[in-house]
Amino acid sequence: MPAQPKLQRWIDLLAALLRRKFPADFDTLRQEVPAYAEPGRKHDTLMRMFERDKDELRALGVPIETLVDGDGSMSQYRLASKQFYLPFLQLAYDTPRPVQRPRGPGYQGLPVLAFEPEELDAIARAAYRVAALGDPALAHEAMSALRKLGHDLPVPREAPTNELISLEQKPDPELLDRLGDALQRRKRVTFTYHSMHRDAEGARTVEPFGLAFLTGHWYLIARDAGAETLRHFRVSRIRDITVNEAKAQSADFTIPAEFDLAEHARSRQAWELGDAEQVEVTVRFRVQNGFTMPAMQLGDAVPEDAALRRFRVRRPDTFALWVLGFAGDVLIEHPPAMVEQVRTLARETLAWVEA
Amino acid sequence: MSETTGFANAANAAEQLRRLLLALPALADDRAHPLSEIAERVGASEEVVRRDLTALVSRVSDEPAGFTEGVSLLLGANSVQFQTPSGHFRRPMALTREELHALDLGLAMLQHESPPDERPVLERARTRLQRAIGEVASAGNNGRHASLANESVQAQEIRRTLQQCIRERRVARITYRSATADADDVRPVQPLGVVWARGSWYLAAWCKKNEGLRVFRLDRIRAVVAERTRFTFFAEFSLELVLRDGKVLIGEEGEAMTVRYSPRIARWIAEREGLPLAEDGSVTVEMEAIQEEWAVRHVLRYGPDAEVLAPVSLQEAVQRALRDLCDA
Repeated sequence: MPAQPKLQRWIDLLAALLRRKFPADFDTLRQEVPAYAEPGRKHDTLMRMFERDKDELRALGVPIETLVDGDGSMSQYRLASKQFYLPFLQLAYDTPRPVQRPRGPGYQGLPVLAFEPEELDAIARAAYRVAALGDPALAHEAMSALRKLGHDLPVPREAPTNELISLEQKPDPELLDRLGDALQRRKRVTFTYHSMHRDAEGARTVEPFGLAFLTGHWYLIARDAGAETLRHFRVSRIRDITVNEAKAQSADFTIPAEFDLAEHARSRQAWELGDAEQVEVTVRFRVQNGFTMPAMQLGDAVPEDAALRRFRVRRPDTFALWVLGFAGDVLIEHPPAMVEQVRTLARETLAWVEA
Repeated sequence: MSETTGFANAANAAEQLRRLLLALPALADDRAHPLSEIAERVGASEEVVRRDLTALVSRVSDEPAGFTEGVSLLLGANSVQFQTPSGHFRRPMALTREELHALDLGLAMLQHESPPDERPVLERARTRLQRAIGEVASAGNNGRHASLANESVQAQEIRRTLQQCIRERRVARITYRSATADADDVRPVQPLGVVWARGSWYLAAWCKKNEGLRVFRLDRIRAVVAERTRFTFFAEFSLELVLRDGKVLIGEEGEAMTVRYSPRIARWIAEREGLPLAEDGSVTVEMEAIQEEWAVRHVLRYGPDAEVLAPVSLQEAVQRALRDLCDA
């Protein structure tokens, strides 16, 4: 007799668990899951099948609990309806509307959750925003969530047409999936990376700490195995990735509790990067035009003069290029060494273009 | 039913389960529903819905068993009716941690982009969602962070007003400082949408002053007033119209310019533009010089690593700017 498809076993197991208010052991559950009572198959084999199914359902977010009796000899299993089913959702009105609870087990105790219309609008915008970032797994989860909410609530079925996020490069979905999986399981990954600075490819083995979408690109934030420093790897420059599958069920490393991904991923200007000593540079914006206005939002204001901004610079050469790009609308006032650096850069560039 | 559909692999089974846990609640009223309606609910084709439901009830044994005991499935040409005496699966499954993380990431992005007075709503939405998750475990985060750009509060407020005008089809009076102007220009526009590309937000609008479609960089809009006048949206308009190769097209067409980037920086340019490197490691790019002032600035930001090959007028403009800078 062919094995019963996984889907049917899962559904049968879910139904058997949801029907009960109290935990049940495997031998009780198997009476309602035909695949676990298949004649001619060993109890241990069927038990292993059950264990695997349970793990896979948990990985899908089904909160099956295992309870062990006093002496630890027998496991029982429970799936609380309140945790499995979506609460009843409604829009917040001045007078709460009665909820139509379906007939069947587990619906009476489900809570009612009211959303303000603007909250629901924000959630829909958030879902479509995430879907625009080019990571299919994220988009899938966001849309799945929206569909669930849409069972009760009037969520928009289509992305807003008045906002468009344009990505320069679509990320490789399989690569992002594998990185996301490694991140979730805290597994080391090995890949070939094209370092733009060295213009060379090399193998890297790293411990993923996070994935960040910044300025239109996905980055892997990771630590070289055994090292302390975290690095940013642009995902589009990664290829041939393998996830360490040794001891697949256990983590290869831990991420310190104090690690703050948002803070780490905070965008910095190119001249702020690196470990070099920081120099304070004062800059004068000679005109306010469309070129200089966005730049005037950077750095710190100088109280006595609105046309001055103060910058903290670790890479003077990069900063000098940035200033040169304003073609004289922005000039360095202090320190003199930086003033001279821009002049030297202008002279060298002029000599080059005249040659 | 005895026909079986083999779905050995767990990923397929997982997707099927996810779809079924959305479809079954929609069929919980025991009435016939158009297949198209259920397909829309689960985000799949009618054929997939039909296959999922068939796979659910098709057992290897002729005797119905497990959940399907007592179940009836009526699949018409365009309709479906599902009845179960057990009463299970009449609500969708609660949000999973991954779903919550995805929405939370989006809400965090919006929070980062919104003016302060809008943030409490987003925070409330995040809190509310956490109560819709089935798991007892805390939501935490899934190791992902996303942000588009850092904007000032003023820029966030301007974008919000513009988006409100877009939604309400209202004329907006914008105060704009173009790239080269050192004075503001006030003009009424019919805002059509906002686009984020290459690190900046842009407004696509019908400019009444120029009687044409224009794109304005949002960080150059200094103020905006929503007017009472409403306008009719152009049915044929799509935001894709203002993009070419992922770049936003701004204003009138400019003169073509050709720039060669040295081997030292060429690989970054080549990656960004999707172009191959020349044999000597350099890359040459032909692009539109929207304005000479823009073109000069663009070339100068690369110092000696960018060289204008054409036109001559632009070469001369770059040299003039450099001479001034040598003495500045």
